[in-house]
This record gives sequence, structure tokens and C-alpha cells, in this order.
Amino acid sequence: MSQRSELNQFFAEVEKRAYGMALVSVKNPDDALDIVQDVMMTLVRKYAHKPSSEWRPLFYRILKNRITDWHRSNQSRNKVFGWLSFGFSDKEDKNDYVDPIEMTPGSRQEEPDHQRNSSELREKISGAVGRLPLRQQQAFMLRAWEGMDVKETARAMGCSSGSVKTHFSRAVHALRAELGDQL
Amino acid sequence: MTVERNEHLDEQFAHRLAKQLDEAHDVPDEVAERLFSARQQALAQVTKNETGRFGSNRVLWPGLGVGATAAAALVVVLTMPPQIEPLPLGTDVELAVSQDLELLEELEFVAWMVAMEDPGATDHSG
Repeated sequence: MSQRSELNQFFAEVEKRAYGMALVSVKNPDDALDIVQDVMMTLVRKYAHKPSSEWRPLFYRILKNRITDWHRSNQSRNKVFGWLSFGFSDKEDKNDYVDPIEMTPGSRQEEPDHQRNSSELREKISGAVGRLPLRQQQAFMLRAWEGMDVKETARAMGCSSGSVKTHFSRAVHALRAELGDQL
Repeated sequence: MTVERNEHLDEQFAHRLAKQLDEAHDVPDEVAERLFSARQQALAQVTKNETGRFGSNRVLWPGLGVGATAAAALVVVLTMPPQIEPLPLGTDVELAVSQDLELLEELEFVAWMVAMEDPGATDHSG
């Protein structure tokens, strides 16, 4: 199999989940898409020559870095515009916010009650994960959602296995505290 | 034992959440198309990289380097104006002076010869 076909297959496997992770974290579909595209480009440009078994942790490491960068630049932007706005309402920004769950197919009005309930539950889960501190969010998404083991997650996050366990455990406890009785 | 049990419960709970997230994030067609397009753009770089890697062949690069240097040297040589190497100044002056002295000596000799052959010539003129 050529390198191009291998990469194509790899991206096809990870892109949707990566998009989901980015969307939960940045809460903006366009930004999430930009992040995923940037991650793909970077992987091809810098690491395509590496063995394909190393692509997954590298891909998620780049994704983690891009999401962190996004949060950093967003914080700086908010600080700057927070000062510049002099107390003007950020109503417009709030209207721009797109909830990740709203992006899922299917109209809410057409859904029967049980579907609407599960849709609401997913919305709550997505929101709760999105509100976790960034490191906990990443540990949770990589361990639970992407199904990486502790070692792989540590490699993707660029930290020790002990840190991964701590972040993951804190994330799960926070989520259980918020959603526990609903699951 | 308790720690292990807690970890196990955490894992179970986390996987239930992850399953819900997976179902929540089944991307719409429009997003899937945009992801596909992003993937194609990224893969287009593979071809470029492969070309680049061929270009970075260990045999090819030094050859290209030598060729480029030779071509540059040739261009410099061909475009340079021809330079006439000046003679050292000291030698030139010395040569001129020595030639002048010889000429003077010859002229004096010729004048003396004429005077000797025709002694009255100087008297008529004087």
C-alpha cells in the first residue's frame, strides 16, 4: 500500500472523532474544522515518513497542541476585546455560539420524547466535557473517547502516565458529580 | 483493591459517556464533505513531499551543488571584462630612463661624428 493510501485510510478513521473532540473543546464548527485540517497538514508535512504505527499518538498530540493554542489565543483575544468593549454586551457573540449537539442531524421538533431525552442527555454530556479544565478534557477524550491506553495518552499529551491517571480521574469525578445520576 | 475497583468504575462510567459522545457527534454530511476536502488537501502534500524526498537524494544533492557552483563560476568568467595586467611601475620607469639615456648617448655620438668629419661646420654655424 502506498504512503498516500495509508494516510488516507488513517485520516478517514480518525477525522470525525478528532472533529468531535475539537468541537467539544472550542464549540465552534468552523474553528474545529480548521484545527483538524491543520493537524492533518502538519502530520503529512512533518511526520508522514514515520512508521504508520506512530501516526495516531502524533496526530492526537498535534490536535491537543492546536486546541491548546486556540484556547490561548482566544483568551488573549477576549482579554483585549474585553478591555476595548468597555462593558458593551457580548450578546452578539453568544448568538454566534453553536452548540455541538445542535450540529447533529435531525430536527428536534420531529423527535419523539425518548429521542429528545437522549439528545438532551448528550447535549449535557458534551457541555460538561467542554467545561472541564483543558488537561482533564484532553485526558478524558483521549482515554475514554479515543480509547487510548494510559501510555499512549501520556505520549499524546506530552506528560507522564501518572499525570494522565490524575487528570483522567479528576475528569471522571467531575463528570460524575455533574451527570452521575442521569446515566 | 479499592483503588483498582474505583479505577474500574471510573473506566466504566467514562466509556458510557464516550458512547453517548460518539452518538452525539455523528457528523452531518456537510461537515463530512469538508473533512474529506481537508483530507484531500493534506494528502496532496504527500506527492509534494515525495518529490521533495527524491530531490533530497544523497547522490543527487551533491551533484546539483557541484553543477550549480560550476555554472556560477562559468558565468562569472564569461561576464568578467578582460583584464590587462599592468606592468610594475618601477620597471617601466627604469626601462624608459635607460632607453632615453642610450638615445641621448647615440645622439651625442652622431653629433660628435658629424663634427669630426666636418670641423668647419660648427664654425660656420657658430
